[in-house]
Amino acid sequence: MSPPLEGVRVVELTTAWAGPFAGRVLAWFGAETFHVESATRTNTWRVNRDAPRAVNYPDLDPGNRPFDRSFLFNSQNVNKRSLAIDLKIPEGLAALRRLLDVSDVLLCNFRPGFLARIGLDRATLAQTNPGIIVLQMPAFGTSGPHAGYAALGPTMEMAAGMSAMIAYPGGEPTVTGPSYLDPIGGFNAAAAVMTALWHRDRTGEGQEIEMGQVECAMQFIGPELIAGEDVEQQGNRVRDMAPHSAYPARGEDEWIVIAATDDEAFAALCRAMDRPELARNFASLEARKQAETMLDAEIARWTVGQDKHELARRLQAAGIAAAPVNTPADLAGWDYLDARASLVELDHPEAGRHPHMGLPFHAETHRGGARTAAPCFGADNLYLLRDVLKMSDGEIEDALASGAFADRPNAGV
Amino acid sequence: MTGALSGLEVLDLSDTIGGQYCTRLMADFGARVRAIEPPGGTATRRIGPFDAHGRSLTHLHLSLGKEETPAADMAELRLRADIVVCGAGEGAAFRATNHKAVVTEVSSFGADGPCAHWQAPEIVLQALSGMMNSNGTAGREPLYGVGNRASYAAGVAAYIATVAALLARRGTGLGDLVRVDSAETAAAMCFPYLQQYFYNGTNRRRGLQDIPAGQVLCRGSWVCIWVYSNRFERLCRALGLEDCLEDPKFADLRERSGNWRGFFERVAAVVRDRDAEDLVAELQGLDIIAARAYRPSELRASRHLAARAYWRRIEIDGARYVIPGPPFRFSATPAIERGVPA
Repeated sequence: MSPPLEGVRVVELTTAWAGPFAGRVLAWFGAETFHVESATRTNTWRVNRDAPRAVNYPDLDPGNRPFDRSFLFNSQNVNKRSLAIDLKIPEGLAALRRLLDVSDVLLCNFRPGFLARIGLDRATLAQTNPGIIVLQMPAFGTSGPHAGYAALGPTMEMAAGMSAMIAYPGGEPTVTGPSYLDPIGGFNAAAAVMTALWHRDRTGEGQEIEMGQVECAMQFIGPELIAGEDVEQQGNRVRDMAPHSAYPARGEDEWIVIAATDDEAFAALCRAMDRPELARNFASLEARKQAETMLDAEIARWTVGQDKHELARRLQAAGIAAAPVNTPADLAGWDYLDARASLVELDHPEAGRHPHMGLPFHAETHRGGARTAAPCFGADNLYLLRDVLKMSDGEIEDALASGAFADRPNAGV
Repeated sequence: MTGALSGLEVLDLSDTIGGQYCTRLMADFGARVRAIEPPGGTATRRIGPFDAHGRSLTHLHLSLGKEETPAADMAELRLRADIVVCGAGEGAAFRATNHKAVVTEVSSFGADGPCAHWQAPEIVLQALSGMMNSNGTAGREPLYGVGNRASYAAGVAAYIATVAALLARRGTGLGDLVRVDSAETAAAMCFPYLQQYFYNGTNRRRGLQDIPAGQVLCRGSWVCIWVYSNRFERLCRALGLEDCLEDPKFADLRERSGNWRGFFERVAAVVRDRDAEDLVAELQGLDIIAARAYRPSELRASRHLAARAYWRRIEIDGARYVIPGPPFRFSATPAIERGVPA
């Protein structure tokens, strides 16, 4: 059975994570997805703005085309085609405009005004392609006093109200990983496009979608924002469970999380620890909250010499919420991901063959999937001119001679 | 009825945040969503935070726009639903009697596999995902985050997969059985350090984080500043830290990467009496990325969000609540409007 978005064509003017993540979701479901960059403005996740750092590359080797070997770019652009077009050169902009005439979706994660500046705003595109769906995903939306503010994952998490609620005692806000807002924005953008595609299929009507990444993320802490209280966060502690934290396990910087979700779970934990007196003395949540520091210390003393994986399995088998704090190496060996077939090996012409983490969509009939590794820079320029735009050999020659198309970024961008 | 999904009938039998956020989005965009709860009420009614009347604000947030429906109506509704959202392992039975329905199972770990019966509060999902490994300071315990973001994300993922299956239904008239796990969703959202591991064996740990960013405490509020290499000089000059430009510790990105802490201590010293909002505006005016770490009360008071009419005021059983607005805005098929601007 064909994937759900077969025959849908998507163009991405995106960079880094959130925008490419959205395009990756659409590509997963079978959309032909063009990631557009230029030789003077590359996707920042190709990390070729600064001198190469070995950790970004396969075998710690930047190789001759480091911009095609970045784990960051290559993780998020699976299944896509790459166009490297200089939009400041008329032949380049014209080619992109013609591609958009035969496309269904344009994704843009640059600041508001960018599309209008280059003449690719929806009103203009709709003159020749009335069904097109244009999604803009600026951090703060396209209106309001902060609309022009630039942002990245960490600053958006701050602006969304999340970071202030993640802190060790003392209150310094903490960011989730290097960036959590990006995949949140990517998922939401894909959801919005799917919705608009459904509407267009029924009515023929295209539309514009405005997705403020900060606003869509605020829904993820909707209950906390409805409560509206400024919480003084104390590490991993929460109001309705105790204990609830990460505890040291055997090895350096190895941790296990344990959460007593209710009184019974705490009693079960005490049985596992062989500490029946704790169960008796701290049978209620109120009692445990009051003694949380002491209980945390007791649990840590018990976990510190134990293997985090084995202990988590044992506790879960006893009905207690627990899990290893997985490192990348742990994830690579996690049997659950095997059971979901989450990891798929893909061949990349410059980076080699490696497993890639997939997306969490499973269907019985119309399946998506990871089919091809991320594209090399500008790999599909010729495909665009010849197979999509159906240019003659002479026209192709002229287009290439204009200098609008590249297969390497300029130095230092 | 307007909305992109108008005309679609959804049966929400899910007992999870993920399933119920999935159907909440469907209600937002115009579907008719009927929620049937198990005896004793759905589990999300027992998830905090709670208001002064003991009402779960999680359940309130998830149930907006849905019709509470008696279980007795299920026999008939299941036959005509376009979409059924339910728990792990429950979907096949609905598919058997309604071939056109898209049936979506949302759960923590799915009905099979090595973790099928694991308990999965948010801290467990974040620990397993790989994300928590990066959160916090080296040498201290990793931090799980806030709220139930992994479950909410699974809700969006389930929404995506369900609408994808609806799009596929056009050709065949046949529905599908869709499965989304919160655990796999959370792992898919982890920063791609797993790809780095597959590329070169680096097992990235907490504290190795070298993004060119830091945070500083202004008057009563924290501000995060991101310093791309081509903005470093501009930032130093704006803050009167020209001497940092001469300091070998900050000479280039490689040097700065090991010394961000020292640099941001210098920044902190010169901005501690500044108003956070003003500092962010000044830096943004210089094309330097910065943001204030808002607390919930500050978001409620945000001039920006007010200008966008983001907050909505609703009334339920005589009590008033302020709720966040739609996650995205459509020009042709806007979300169903709830309440009035707050």
